[in-house]
Amino acid sequence: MKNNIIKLFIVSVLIVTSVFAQAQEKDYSQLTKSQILKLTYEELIDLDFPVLLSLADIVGMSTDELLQLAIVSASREEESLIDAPLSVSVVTGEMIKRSGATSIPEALRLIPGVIVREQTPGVYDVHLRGMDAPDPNGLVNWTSNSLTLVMVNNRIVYNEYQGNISWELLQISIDDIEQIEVVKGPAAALYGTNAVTGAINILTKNPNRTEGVQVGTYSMMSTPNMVNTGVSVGYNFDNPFSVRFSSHYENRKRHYVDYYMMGSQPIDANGNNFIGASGNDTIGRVGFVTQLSQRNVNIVGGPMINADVPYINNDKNAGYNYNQNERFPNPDQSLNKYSFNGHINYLKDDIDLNLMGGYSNADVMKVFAINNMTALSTDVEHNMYGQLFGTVKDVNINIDYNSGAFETLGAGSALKGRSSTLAGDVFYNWQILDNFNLKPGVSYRTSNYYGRILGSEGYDYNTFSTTPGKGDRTNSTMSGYIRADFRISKSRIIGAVRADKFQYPDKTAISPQLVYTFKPSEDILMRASYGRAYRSPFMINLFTDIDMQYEGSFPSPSLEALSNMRQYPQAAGLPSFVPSMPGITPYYNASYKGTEVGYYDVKTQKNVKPDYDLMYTDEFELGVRLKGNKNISFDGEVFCAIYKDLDVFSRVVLYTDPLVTGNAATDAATLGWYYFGDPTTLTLNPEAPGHTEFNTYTTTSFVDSKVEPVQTGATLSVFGQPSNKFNYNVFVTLQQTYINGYYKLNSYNFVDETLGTETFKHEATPSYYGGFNFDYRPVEGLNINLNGYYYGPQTLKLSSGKESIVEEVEQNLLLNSTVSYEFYDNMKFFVSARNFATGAKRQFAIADIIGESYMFGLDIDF
Amino acid sequence: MKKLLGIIVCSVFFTAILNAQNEKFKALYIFNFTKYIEWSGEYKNGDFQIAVLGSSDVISALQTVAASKKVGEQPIVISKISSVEEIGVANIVYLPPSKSAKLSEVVNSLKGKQTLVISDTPDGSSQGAAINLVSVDNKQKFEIVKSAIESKGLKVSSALLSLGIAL
Repeated sequence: MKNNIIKLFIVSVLIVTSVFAQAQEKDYSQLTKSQILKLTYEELIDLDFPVLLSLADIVGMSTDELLQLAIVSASREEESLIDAPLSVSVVTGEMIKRSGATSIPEALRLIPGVIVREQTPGVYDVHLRGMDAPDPNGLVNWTSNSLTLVMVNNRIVYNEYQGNISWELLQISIDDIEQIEVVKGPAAALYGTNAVTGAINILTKNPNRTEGVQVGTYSMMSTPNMVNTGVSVGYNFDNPFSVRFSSHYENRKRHYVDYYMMGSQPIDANGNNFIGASGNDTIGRVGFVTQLSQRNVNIVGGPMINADVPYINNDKNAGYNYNQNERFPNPDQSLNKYSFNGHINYLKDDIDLNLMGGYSNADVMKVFAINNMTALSTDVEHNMYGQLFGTVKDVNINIDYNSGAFETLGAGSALKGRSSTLAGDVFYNWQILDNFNLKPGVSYRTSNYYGRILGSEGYDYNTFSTTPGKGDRTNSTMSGYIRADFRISKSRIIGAVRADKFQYPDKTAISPQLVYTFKPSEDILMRASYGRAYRSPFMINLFTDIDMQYEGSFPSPSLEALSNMRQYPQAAGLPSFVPSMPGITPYYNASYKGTEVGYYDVKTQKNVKPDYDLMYTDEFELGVRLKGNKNISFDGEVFCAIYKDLDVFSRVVLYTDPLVTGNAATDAATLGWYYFGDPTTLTLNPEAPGHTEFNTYTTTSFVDSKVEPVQTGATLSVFGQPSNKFNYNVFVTLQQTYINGYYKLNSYNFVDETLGTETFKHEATPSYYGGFNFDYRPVEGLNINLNGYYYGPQTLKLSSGKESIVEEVEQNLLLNSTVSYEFYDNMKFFVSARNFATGAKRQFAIADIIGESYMFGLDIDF
Repeated sequence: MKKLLGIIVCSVFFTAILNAQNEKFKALYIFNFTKYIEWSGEYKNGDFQIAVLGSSDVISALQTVAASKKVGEQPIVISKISSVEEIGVANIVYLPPSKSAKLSEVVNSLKGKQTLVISDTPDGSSQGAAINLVSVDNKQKFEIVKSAIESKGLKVSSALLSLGIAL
């Protein structure tokens, strides 16, 4: 890691110094807003009035005319939205605040093509165009989005563990946002791997954006029990420096408290659920309970013995004393977060450099990694980062470092880890001809992850004990890319290709992109594009290496039957199924292994490393933007994306004790294995002499699948500003996804290719979703906003690791209205009603009911 | 709750020292108008007076301009006035948005005088201002009423009319 830092530093210094002295005379027609704001009176006074007016136009860039908004994410250079070659949408900080949005993910509901579900108050699941939980037999952590590249000022912020986003860990709040740009569809050639369904780039306010003192706040309180405050101060000095500091605090309470149990719950001797507090709790199956007790059991029906200390009095013979308080120390709280962020800008002539840094800390209740018991888990996280980025003449640089830790409470230390990432990116903006631009670049990224899930046999919860040589993993990616942008007459052709060479797996991913746009007039742009993007390799795929042991259960009913299971006397506190084998204690051993770790194939007695084919998509898209009159404009697209090499995390080994001869092949012949493709030779002898334990072993790893989701759809936005008092934006996405080539599982839950494949419609992504946003300003200073977000019904299918889960989400319309009044220059007071129309519903199938809320707040920005 | 109150108090305090970017451009616009408009008689001699009614950050911006520039040979003098009577023989009077209610009174009091009235309110032109600073799509523009300028005996260049929104 130290060598990497030195390399990056040296490269950056060379680049910076080589171009430092090349500043040339100012061309006012090429100035950006930031550069204009740095001009002195002396420079401005001597300008001709027409030049001054043109500069004023740039400074006072409209926030209402969507198509004129300057964006950078579509081609990595500033251009008007109407010219953007890809499917891009943008929302400005000002629009977000007018809408009354209380968080960054909520603000994404103002953008077409984004699916946003509130899991618990203030905690969100965000997907671009879906592809959520594509594997109906996948574990719960595959419901989170790990196919979108989320960036803050081009700094990648996904979690190294799986590539998903902890939105609550961003060091910024809405108060910090200049604008959010969303590129839909593959954007890997521009940004790198993992921009599979698209990229979200959050651009923060630059302290050089205005003169002198800057003060901002976007703060609010609401029912039920939410406090959310972002505060910032900044100063733009007369010299090239400007600074800005901000902080954010947010605390939210849950609207309704219940939990989705991931394992069947026991019933007592009278057939009742142990909780017994309400009719809802007598489930005896997976489902919601309104409260947790010590008698709720985990996903396999009993307490975990190994690699887990989820309950007090951890004695496998003493009973089942789950400590729900450890998993949920604040059952009523969905989010508690605080963060700090700093930004120093240096802007002089052709040098525009930014140094940023921040820290965040969050306790959050969300659906991510299972805590062995409920869909919701409490995660405790923190993260810090530093970033240097900007341009020196025509060279664009970015260097960032971040490190953090997270822990899912109640899973022992199985889901507790630390990570750090160092990344650098340099590209040269080479304007060869007026109509021909090349951007060659290189980047490097190295990530380290340390945690028991990557290799541990220890128990020590407090010291992160890992097995020597395990648990500490590093992966690096070296990349090169080039992007060509050629304009001739009314046409524009963009070709880009990027190569990412990974350390693990030892493979190179080539991501090409080809875009053609045709602009017959200033008001129409037509575009066609093809792109390929790969999902990045993440720690969970590569290095997962954990072994867990549970008492008293078996992985499938058929096994239970075969092993002479019977109903144990229903003494309070005991689960339903415990095998009857006097003198023999049954254990269920579950192992999860990544592709670089491999697993022991008991049949061949060899370690197997599954081939890791990175998932990728090929996407084709046609779009048109039509700037009509001020009343109405259109932005529409149709898209088709084919996904290949979907991650399939499936059972690969299943066998039972006792080993009689010590030779697996002999044992297989005499005792029988429950094994993939060979489930028929079962001759089990659990009561073999000399054995006091009866173990069932399962291993889950990645299998090579031929699953090919195919997604087709269309998005249309209609917007306009019929008068200075009114502007609107309405958008809808219609889409469908079919999962082709889906493997079938045999009775032991193995992928079994001999059973053939099937095709089915993917229902976890709604087939329609969209929103609208209206602003009405009846008198100066008063803004009335009505915005809505709607989605169709969905069915979430996944596996708890033992049981299949199928849960519905109703169609929903979330209506919000915000009235803000500017009582003094750039100071607004606002009141807002959120989700007030359609009642309390679950937006994410296995998470919280989200009700309405009413809030008031203050918005200051100058 | 205490945190929120603290933020409100701090924010209000900082607003007092706000120096908005818009004011810089407004001052530069006003200075540039003088390049395209010709005064005569006593208005062409002595100081070139720009009066601003009430408080406005434009004043300090104008003062920065005045420190280094002249209108022809006339030194520029910026004065903050609090009533219509104080306008005197100012070449230009600027009414910031907060004083828009006084616009009709100012226009009426200046009939027959060469004082150019510049307003800064959406309906300023219809209330008689010769030039009105307006925000169009959040861009700083200006409306210009040729007849209102010429009725004061001032000459205005057609170039200025083409740069603004001529009404």
